[in-house]
Amino acid sequence: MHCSGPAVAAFVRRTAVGGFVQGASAATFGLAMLAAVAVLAIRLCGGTVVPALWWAVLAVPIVGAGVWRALRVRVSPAVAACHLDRRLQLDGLLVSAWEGIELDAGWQRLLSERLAGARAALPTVQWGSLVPRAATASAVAALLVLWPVNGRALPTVVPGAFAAAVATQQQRLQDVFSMGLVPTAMLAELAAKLAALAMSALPDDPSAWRELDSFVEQLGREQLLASLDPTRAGGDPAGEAGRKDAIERGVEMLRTFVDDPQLPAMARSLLEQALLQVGEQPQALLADPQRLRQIVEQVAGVAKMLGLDASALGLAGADMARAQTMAKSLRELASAQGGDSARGDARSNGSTLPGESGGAGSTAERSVGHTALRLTDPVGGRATKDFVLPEGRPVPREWLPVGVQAIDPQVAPTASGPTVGGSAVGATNGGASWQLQVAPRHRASVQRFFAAGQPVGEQSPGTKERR
Amino acid sequence: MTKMLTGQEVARGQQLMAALQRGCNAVLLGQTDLVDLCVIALCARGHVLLEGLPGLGKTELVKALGRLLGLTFRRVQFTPDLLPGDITGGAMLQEKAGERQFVFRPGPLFANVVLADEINRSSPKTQSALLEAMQERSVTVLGETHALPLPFFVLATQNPIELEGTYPLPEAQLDRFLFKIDVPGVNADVMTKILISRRRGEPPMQDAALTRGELDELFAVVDAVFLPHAVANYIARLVAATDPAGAQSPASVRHGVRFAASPRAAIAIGEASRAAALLAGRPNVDFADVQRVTLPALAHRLVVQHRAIVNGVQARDLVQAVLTEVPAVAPLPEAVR
Repeated sequence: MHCSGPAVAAFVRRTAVGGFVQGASAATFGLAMLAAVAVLAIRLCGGTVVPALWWAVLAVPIVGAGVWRALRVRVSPAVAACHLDRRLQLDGLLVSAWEGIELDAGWQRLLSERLAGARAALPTVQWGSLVPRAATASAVAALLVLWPVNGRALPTVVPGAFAAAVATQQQRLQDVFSMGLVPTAMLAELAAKLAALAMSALPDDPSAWRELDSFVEQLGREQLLASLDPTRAGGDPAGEAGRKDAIERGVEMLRTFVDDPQLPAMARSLLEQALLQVGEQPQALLADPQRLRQIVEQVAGVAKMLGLDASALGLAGADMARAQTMAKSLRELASAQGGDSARGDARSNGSTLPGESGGAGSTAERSVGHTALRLTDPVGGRATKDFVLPEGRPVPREWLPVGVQAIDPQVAPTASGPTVGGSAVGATNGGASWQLQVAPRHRASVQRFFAAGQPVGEQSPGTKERR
Repeated sequence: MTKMLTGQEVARGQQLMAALQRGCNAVLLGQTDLVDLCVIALCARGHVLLEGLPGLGKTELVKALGRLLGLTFRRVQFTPDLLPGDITGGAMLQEKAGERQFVFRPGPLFANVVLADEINRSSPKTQSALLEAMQERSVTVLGETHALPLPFFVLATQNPIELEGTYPLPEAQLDRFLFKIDVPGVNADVMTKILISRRRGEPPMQDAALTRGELDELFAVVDAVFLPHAVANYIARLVAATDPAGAQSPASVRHGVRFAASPRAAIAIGEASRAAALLAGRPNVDFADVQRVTLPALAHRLVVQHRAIVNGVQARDLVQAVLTEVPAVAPLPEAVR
């Protein structure tokens, strides 16, 4: 190759780069404008647009357009030599040399001298005229995509979070299946639903997350129903028999713990209370899920006390190690019985217990417009605390069950006030069975009336009297 | 591998051409472009048709060239009654050693430099007598072909305003001329110089600027000037663009040209470009050399539509359009500069 070869090749390359940039920027402009219009339309229709990895596919037409343009405007080396010749003011010397004519030393020297400055004569890509249009369009599209929903920044979607959540639920479903509490048909339905979720085409889409949450709720509900009604799994004698065996084993283990002289007194006392509740026939617990639940919670409480508060019990060294071992065994015992008290420990192991919802979400970031729902304190008999959505998470558009909760009835007797017309009036302890809707302007007079201590029936005329 | 002219060879050729330039410029003041084109045409061994108003120095320029080249020079004043035999020569009956025989008597064409003054005043028949001489460098009389002395140049002049009693040169005749040069007028400064330096309009006395050997040397150098393929392609595209049916032709050509230039035009431009390159001190032809000689080499070869003529379109306007529209090199994409 002639000495002008590298310079000519560089010229050709630079021209190709220019063509590529031209094509790519034109395609970028077009795509960005289309995207901006599409995003705007979606936003105006109330939808949301979430950046996703598959958007990288848009780079394919851009690169394709660039390559196509580069090939289309490609200049041949001969043409490049002509341009370079004119730019270097060689008056055809470079063209002649490129065509293979033999130069004498003088011309060769002149050519070499001029070619030394060929770098400055190479064509420059017109970034200033090519890029701004595409960049502006891209910026507009990006702005529209990233514009905060409801004025808040969008969360970052963690790739793979959905798959991890599905895997967690698969494990949970397997655990449920091994426990044999849920009817087989229901389990099959749940398994099919989970498999469909695992095959979801858009795993990070809010709808997929909603489906998963729905699944979690359903599974939790089934577990809870199973714990409340062990016969529900009906038609599965093997599961019921296993359940009876488990209860008997658990009771036997409880007795072993109570007989253990190393067990702290407080723990022994609690376990003895639990044994008392078991009674003479442990199998009867299968028909009394409420009692079973209380026993399990008590055992779990002891396990927690031994595991976490061993130092508070004055244990140290080997005693503490033993206490922790016992706590572990009790936890396993409680977990085997499906008690709520073991929830905290089980949660740390990544499993979910009956009554708990929102397991699918775990701590992973999800798509916009959706959030993991978790009951903060679903303990029976107490009101659920207000669920505060995380910052930046809008309220889900669709109705979602936030959990199923069994609340014990209020059984404590309330002192009744004087009976008027068959209605009990409790004016002192707040346990009124009926209340008057009193306008604010009448409130003071009503209070004065009740402060006087006169029976309501005497002051206010009865129905018959009014007539 | 073809060798390019060395720097010394180019300098020598340039020097010889410069001698001719100087001599012509001394005779014809203020007409450097005209002189350059004439020198280029002579170095390309082409014939030149000078067209201009009377008194602009056409004849003086041709006479000066004849003197400077140091070659035999003849002047023929073309008139309507001039016959072909008057310029080619003819056979004459002579008695030699008691025998009568026809002997060819060469006409004024048998010279190295022939001045055909006011060539359009002669009849087409006489004009046609020049065709073979100009193209073949030979003359055929009574079946005998006689070679003309080499080099052979025809330098013709014509007056564009006196059309009565003239016979416009046919296209075939015009095509034989390498250049048709319009002799422009001179400005007041040049005329002042002429008034001061010329008495009774007589040009300065001049000797031959080149010897015969030097002229051959000059021709050899011109022939050795390299014509790159890219430049040859440019010439071809220029000539092809004069075709009114050509897809790449400018709109003005499509509407204004009746007949396009011939390949002879491309050859003429190529040869003239070589001489122009040497005059510029280059060992090879550049695009600029082509652009310099295209107008005088191409304009007289185009046959313009009558409608375009009526509209005031001239052939040189069409050639200018071709030069403007046809790029020397394929343009770069807009993305780079």
